[in-house]
Amino acid sequence: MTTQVEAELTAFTAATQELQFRIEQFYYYEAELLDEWKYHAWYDLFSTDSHYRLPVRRNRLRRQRFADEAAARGIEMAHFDADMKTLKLYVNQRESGSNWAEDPPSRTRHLITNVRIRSSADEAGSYDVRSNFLVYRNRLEAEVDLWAGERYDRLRPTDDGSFQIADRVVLLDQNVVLSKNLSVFF
Amino acid sequence: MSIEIDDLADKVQWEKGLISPEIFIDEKVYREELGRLFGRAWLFLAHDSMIPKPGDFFNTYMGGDPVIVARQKDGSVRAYLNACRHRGMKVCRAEDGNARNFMCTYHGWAYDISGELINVPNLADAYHNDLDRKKWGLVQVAQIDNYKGLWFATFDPTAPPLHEYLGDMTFYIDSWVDHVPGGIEILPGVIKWTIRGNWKIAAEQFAGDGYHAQVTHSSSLGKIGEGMWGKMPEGAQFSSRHGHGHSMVFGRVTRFDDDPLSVYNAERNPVVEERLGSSRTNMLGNFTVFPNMSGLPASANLRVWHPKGPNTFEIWSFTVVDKDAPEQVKKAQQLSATLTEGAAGIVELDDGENWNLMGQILEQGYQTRRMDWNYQMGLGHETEDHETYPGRINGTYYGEGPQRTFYRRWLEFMTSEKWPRVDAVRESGDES
Repeated sequence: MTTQVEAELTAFTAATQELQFRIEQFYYYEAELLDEWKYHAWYDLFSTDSHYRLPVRRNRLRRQRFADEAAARGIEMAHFDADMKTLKLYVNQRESGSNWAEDPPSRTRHLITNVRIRSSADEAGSYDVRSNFLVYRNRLEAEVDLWAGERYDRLRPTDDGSFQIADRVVLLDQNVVLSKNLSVFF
Repeated sequence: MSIEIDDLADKVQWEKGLISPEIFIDEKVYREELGRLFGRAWLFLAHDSMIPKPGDFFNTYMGGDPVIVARQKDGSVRAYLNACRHRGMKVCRAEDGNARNFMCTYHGWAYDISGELINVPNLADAYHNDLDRKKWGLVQVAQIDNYKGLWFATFDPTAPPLHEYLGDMTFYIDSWVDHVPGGIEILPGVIKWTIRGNWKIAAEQFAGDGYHAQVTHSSSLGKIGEGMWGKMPEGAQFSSRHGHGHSMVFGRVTRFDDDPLSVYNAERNPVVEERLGSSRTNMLGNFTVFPNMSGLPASANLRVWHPKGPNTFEIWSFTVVDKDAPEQVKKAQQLSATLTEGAAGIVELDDGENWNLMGQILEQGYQTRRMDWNYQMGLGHETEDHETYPGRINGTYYGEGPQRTFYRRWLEFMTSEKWPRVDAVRESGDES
């Protein structure tokens, strides 16, 4: 009898390895766009029906905590909760020339790891992909921020062999945000 | 270098519009502030809607001290220190929830929702039953009261009643809590983030600094509507002798005019006018309830500046909606407030840039601490007898009267041995 781990390992075929490779490459490209402040190009990676959400992480007792922290909980305040029309406002602001929080621009590094791919149960042909991130920000002379977290993406294949981000939920591993702002994207 | 309390009057020359930034960075001033100001003033805790059911609690701070606010079985609200009487450990580490009791996870002393000590492990064999549990409940606030659903408390038994403390400010608070018959509620989700700066910088800005918006928020507010550069919006400013401030802008209903929220707000206006009169309909802007509760009526926003040291504070930001508004309106308010306010909000992120750098400069500097800051805008241009608005009124949206009043009151708290009651004779103020 094979164990669960062995079963999953044997499921890695040349095709799944190639998919893993292509999705990781997509994420590295995305990280490059963000780290090089190419916000409009980053925005174009999202599908027009996409949504970008970064919920508040709560400190609650184990018995009263939310079983699925990435799931939407109705009307609740969030750090980001943007359809693509709204996300465009953020992106436009960064490139407005008077967004002082990012002018001079911060130096950032988006490190993306632990990419886990599953076929989407909700959207045939798409993938539900979870990845971890570590984002380092160094700003002006000596300011440093470090953010860790996880992204829940719906990736939709495109005709040219790449992907569109059809949905993204970001779990930032902080309750009280420890930085003066969140002027970065994850 | 350390400031003595006796020197503070030289550092806070509010009547001349000169403030020494040493009050924003000095460690001793901060330690004194925790007792003299936060230990005596009425401080905002929570809104009724955040703890609707018996056992519901919300964990917050009063100055530097952790405080639990909890709904009681009889519907009343209590607030007490979140610190075990045995060794001072937090008895509750969840930020909110519902509980029957709180057990300290150090030695197991347990308290009920009213704060009373209900269980001590080994009471008989280790304490020989010599411990009187009635004397060792959690430390209760001295006074707790609410104004139209907003709960406040003070640790000073000699503080005057809440309504007296709020004074004329209630006229303005009513414009965002009592403008519709059903009142307000707070949406779930408190946005909390950290600024390396002094809490007073934020409190004074919300009291009276509409002036910064056209520049600081040029990439957000400046892009909404017809732009703001150089044009002072039509408005006015209120300063309270009790230290509160409110800056009003008239005529802009909502920041965005194409969502269900703005339609709702426009339809609501006749109701508001009926209840409060035209002078408080569409009254937007920014305010501070002395010392550390502030808000933005235009963004349905309420927040507390929690001090975390002379050069660090946390912003706890809440979003307010009309309780009886349709769900899609509440959703629109949530989306709108998420976009503009909070750590990632397109408006607010530029404030963090200013406040952090100001704090950094003071932390490292010597000459920069010796440089008085200018608070002279509109000095001598305020009136006491405005025909519509109570309090001390500046007839324009830009001015620094509310800031001067804030620091005047702050100085009184810091230098007064007794609770600094506002003398009725001096109620109208004597700024010249």
